[in-house]
Amino acid sequence: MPNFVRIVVACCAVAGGLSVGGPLAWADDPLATQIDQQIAAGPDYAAMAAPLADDAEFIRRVSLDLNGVTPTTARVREFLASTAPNKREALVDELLASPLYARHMEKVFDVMLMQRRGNKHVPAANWSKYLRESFAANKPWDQMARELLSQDGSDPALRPAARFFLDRDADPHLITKDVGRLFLGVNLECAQCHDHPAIDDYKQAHYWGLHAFLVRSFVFQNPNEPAVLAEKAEGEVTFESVFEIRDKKSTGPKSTMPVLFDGKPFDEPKFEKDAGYKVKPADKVKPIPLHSRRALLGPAVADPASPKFARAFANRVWWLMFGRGLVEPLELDHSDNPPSHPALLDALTQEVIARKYDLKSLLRSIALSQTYQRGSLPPAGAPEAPPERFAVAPLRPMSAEQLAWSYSQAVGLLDAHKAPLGPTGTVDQAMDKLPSVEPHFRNYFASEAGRIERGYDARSDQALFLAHDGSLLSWISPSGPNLATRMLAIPADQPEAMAEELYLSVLSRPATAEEKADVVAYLSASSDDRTKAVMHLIWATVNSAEFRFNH
Amino acid sequence: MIRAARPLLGMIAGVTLLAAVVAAPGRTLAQSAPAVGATGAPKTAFYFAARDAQRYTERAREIAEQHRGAFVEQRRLLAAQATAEQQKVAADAQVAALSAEIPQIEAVLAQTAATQAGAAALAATPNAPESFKLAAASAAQLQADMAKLVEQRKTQLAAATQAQAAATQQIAALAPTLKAATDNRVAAEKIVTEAATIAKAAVDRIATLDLKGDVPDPKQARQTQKLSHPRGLLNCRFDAEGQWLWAGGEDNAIHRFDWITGAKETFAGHKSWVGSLAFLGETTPFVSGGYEGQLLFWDTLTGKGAPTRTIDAHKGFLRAMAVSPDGQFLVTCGNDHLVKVWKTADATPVITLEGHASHVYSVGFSPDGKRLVSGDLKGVVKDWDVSTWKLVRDIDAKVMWKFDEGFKADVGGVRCLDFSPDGKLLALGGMGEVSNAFAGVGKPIVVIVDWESGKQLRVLESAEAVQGSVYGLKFSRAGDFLIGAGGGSGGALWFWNPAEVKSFHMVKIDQVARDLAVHPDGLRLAVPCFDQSLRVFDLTPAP
Amino acid sequence: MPAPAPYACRSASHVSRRSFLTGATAGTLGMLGFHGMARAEGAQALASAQKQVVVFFLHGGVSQLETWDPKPGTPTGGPFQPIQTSVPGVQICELLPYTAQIMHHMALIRGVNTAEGDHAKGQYIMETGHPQRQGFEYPALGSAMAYHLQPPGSPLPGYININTGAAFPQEAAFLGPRFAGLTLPAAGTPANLLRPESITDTQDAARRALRQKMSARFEQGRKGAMIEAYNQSHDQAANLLSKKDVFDFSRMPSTDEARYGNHEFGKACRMALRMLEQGITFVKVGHTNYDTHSENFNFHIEQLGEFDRTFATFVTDLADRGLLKHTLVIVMSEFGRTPRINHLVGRDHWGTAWSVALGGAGIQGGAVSGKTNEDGTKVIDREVNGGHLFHTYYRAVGLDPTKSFYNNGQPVDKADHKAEAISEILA
Repeated sequence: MPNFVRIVVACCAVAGGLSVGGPLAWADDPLATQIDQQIAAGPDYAAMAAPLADDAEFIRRVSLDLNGVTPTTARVREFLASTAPNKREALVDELLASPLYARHMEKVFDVMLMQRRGNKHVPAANWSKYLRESFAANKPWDQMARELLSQDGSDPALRPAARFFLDRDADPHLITKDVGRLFLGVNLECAQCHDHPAIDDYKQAHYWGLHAFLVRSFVFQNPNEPAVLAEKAEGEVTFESVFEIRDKKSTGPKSTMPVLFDGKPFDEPKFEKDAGYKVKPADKVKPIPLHSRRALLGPAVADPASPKFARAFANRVWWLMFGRGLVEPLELDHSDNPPSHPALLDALTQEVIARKYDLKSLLRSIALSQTYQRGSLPPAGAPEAPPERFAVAPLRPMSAEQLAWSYSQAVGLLDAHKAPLGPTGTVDQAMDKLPSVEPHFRNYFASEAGRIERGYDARSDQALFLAHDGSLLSWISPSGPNLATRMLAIPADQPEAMAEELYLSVLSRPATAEEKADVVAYLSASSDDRTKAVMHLIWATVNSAEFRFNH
Repeated sequence: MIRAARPLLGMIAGVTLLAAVVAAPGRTLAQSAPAVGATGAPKTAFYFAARDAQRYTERAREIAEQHRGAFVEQRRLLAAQATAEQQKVAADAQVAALSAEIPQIEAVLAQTAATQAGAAALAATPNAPESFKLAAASAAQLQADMAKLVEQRKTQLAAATQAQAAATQQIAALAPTLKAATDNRVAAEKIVTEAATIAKAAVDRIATLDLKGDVPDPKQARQTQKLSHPRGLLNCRFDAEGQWLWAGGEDNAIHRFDWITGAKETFAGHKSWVGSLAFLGETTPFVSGGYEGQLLFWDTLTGKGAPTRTIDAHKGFLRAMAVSPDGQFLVTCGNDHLVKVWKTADATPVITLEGHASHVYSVGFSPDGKRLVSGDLKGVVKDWDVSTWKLVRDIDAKVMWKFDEGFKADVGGVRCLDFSPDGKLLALGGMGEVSNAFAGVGKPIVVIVDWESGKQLRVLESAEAVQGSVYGLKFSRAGDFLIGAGGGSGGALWFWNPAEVKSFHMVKIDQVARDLAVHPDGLRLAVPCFDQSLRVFDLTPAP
Repeated sequence: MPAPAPYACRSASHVSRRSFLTGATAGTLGMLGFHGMARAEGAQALASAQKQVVVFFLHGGVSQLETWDPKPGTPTGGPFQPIQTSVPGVQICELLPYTAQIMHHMALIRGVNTAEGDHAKGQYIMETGHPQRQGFEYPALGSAMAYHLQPPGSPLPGYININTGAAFPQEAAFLGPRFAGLTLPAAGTPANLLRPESITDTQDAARRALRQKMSARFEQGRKGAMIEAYNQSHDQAANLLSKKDVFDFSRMPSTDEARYGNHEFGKACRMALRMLEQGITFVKVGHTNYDTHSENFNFHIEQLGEFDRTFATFVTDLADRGLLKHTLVIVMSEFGRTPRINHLVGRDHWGTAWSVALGGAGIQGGAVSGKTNEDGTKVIDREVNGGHLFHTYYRAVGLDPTKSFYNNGQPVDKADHKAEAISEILA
């Protein structure tokens, strides 16, 4: 296996003699190699970089990133015990093949694309199904983006894709902003009334050029029929800079045809008044124009060869795995805000195009990189690594959904609901039995529906929920084969085994000797009955900072 | 002619009735609805048409009489102008003639002067024959005569010129007076013509009724008048004679419109918006209620501009009022959750009815006068026994009320009510299905209650999508249809068959109608609108 | 978070949320680094010792014409009459008869022009003193006051929201989540405040100690801001629990219910009074809703009918307990309402000429600043904006508004440096 040898050598060379903790079979993935080379190229990287994460930290992290939930106790045990040289690679493949992958991506992309909006024109459940099926089939992102931007809601098979427009009420301003933000890495919000005051690259003409694709579209609905998108044959955009008006420099309003940034504006056929329709507007009649501006948008934005579209996606995929983009923030890609690793982002962008927007394969390559697999604990005495150096695995608060399911996983709620499904039952099926878990956590840990997800904040109402909520407490009391039951099944004279079960289940790692001692001490010091003591142990562990974060 | 026989008889009845009323000058024309004639028979549309024809014909005659002076004066001035112009023409001719004659005479004079000089020279020669002397004397005489003639003619010319100037001046002096007089006459002519047109229309209306009958046809509903006012108007009522349309305004005053001519008289005295009006008996024919809570009595027969009596009736808005069919009681209601009963004769309080738990928006008597109903913000309608003033029952109209949890506010209310003429149905108007409390987005609805059982029969709604509320409600005189007025973003008049949910006809109005008044002839309607107007609609079958 | 109030106009909020790394973490770090400096402002701390603030936020935009600046007899004036107040020469609308009796405790600012008619943007100006700025968040008044006035080491939150409907997003901004408002739910007591009886004090202390120990172990060697904020949230929860009596509103005298009114706002005011008595620095009480695009007068009768007596009772109780002299009372909205009465007998959004009422600490009772024209469409004397209001609030509680906050080393105006305090209403 010459390639294998070459890559190991290369890795060791760039990693500058980092301890990798035991034998490691490094994947033969040129992109992963390229990532590691580019990331390691910065000054003093070797001194700052954390050693590779141990198996326990890796399985927890990669499970959260690819499946949205911490691993089952059994899988942790199995993984730690395995001596297979390629076990990390196999794990990544296993996670990508799991139904939990599509479930997790459904949540992540719902937050991104629809901000957890509730039912409006397209029921949220249909939207979720569309997303989940798309990710399960590993639908290329360019195809998916074109569906989101092109569907008008009349094709039953792809109606959920029209939700992006319909449930924004086809508001051209909101959609202009969100199309730029989400698909092109450019937030033009501040360029609506004038060129962006702080970002030279963002012009008012860009805003209105994008807006011109959308200005003729509206939500059309006949009574007792579902709403669909419709479009008029007329409607132009004009704009004038309020700065220029203020400074008396304006030469009057300008108009623009649909155009993306500094590209070539779309031309369109001219019609006499009212002649531009295949179906003329009338009462209760959905008009159909001969020429559709909106139909140009999907192919223009989600052009697989478009560097902006591919780059925004590359950056977002990176963000999925590291919690920050190479360009940060994701929606402010411009020349005064260069990527932390320009060559790497270029390479990733090329790879996105070459791999035809294959999300799973991109995630796989990143997951197999050493950069992704670094430990989260900085080396003692090392200089502090800025986050954009990716030298130490970042600490990332779990999303509301990750927290909800990981909590359920940790305390054995999922185990308890999986057991009745028999030996072939899966975690995914058990989750289906627990529809209220996500909403319960979203109440406290998610932004309001329809709002862009806010950053991390730690509030006392969350802590009160974690400490006192009746459901949460019931989940940590013995019930079915949950964690409390399992711990209580261990003979009282084996407290260390109880500690082991606790740590493997909640924190996905074995307990250290010191930690075992703490558990033993807690159990012996407690005058409570054993059940209560076990419940409090579980509570303390599942509420520890270590659990709260993906690290 | 058989077809026309009945209306013609109706017209004759109307005119007879009118004659009876006119023949009794001590009697007031104002009576409480439904209009009942002196003979006890209901007044027909012919009565009002004949009454209007007489009124506006008389008015046209009066106006013509008032403006006669303008015509006379203009004629007088035109005659004077003609005289002056004749004089000027004569003077002009004389001046012209003299001016032509004088040079001719002067030429002759010059000739005679030369002749005379020659003759004199000959006569002066020594030994000139006597005949020479005679000739010279004759020539001198001729010259003198000619000179005299010239003088005479010049004097005549001066006089003629003076006469010419005088005539010109006279003409100039007459011009402005004449213009003013002409303008006056034109204006008078317009007024007189208008009055005549109104009179003619009033007379023609009799013919129309005669031809088409006096059964109102909602499908013919058309706006015939729009009366403007500088401030918003909240409500309106026709008096029993249908001559005046009274409206309460946001300018804290009541305005009395002759709705046919547009003439307006204002009665100021409230401290806040005037929310309700009613007509009483003969001595105090008119009362008004204001949002400051006061009840004002007016002696409008004498046209006095100040209230004759002011009563602090309610705390907060006085919302609505009604008069019992026998004219004995006046009932008011308001934001203090109270319904109050007053004697119309002397305005003394009879009783205060307590029981509502929110603002009381509407009151009305059953046609038999035995029961009083009052409706409030929360959709509770109370039924009171008029003989004991005890509460008989509550009628549920909660469908027109909502407590909006988002805004923490009550929305809706029983905005208006009316009984069918036979007393079998009670109609309640308001807004249902409120989706946005503070933007007033809801559906205009009418709840039809079976009066005997007190149960809701159905909820009427607009056949065409209109949002807003019903603010005014009246049954047709025959009880065969129900008229609603209201709206939200725009206004509307609805016509319902009370047995069917959807309106069978709707007339759009570009502004919300805030109230509804029906003319005692049952053929005309009026609504006050936000745009500071009163609009009058006619349901008379089209001519 | 409670859902945003369903405003009649459905105006979209224009609030940008910062991403995690540029936002809360940076804010938390800034706060941690800077908090000590605030404590060093010793003289200032002394001047503002014990000062408290209570804000009444009348959601939706209360009409100035139906409250503090009546225009009787004009086309814009509406049907209500003005009434005399306890201050000779100062008249307010008849819808506030009880408030009229306590006018000597209050001052009126009748010249407010915030030039903003959008709910979210108007609220932003009123709550931060600055118009919204893209990519930057100013701290809300409550967070700023908690930051300045809360006694060091207090186990209680410095800023409590009651009945505030739409929560103000990211209100603590760079001051850090510690100074964000704690929103009490309708029931009064914070959700999940009470510990299930199955867990004793000892057990709870033991489990918390273990949680802390495990967390500390994890924190060791790692960058700590997020972990610290997380641990702090657990500590705050424990503090709230230890002070749960503050939130035990069942202990409020039942006789007060009659005086304050048996409704949510009455209860909220009683809760506010209790919490001010217990030393909470800043309490914001919401009263909803005044977004009266239709039937403005009916709705103002209803809403102010609830507000008036309760508010007057509250101020009177503050005065009777000796709390008013060190408690600043502010009555604000996101904006006022149009003088023009619309076709639905409503009034629409209006930030151009409206009023704010202040009372208590540092305020000269009975003072009036600013004047609008005859029909209320324009400020004709002493026009002020959010900046002036914030200068005034700061001065009233003895703080210097000309000082800056420092956000990651960058100075940020506490109150807009282009404005100054409305000194004529300050005591």
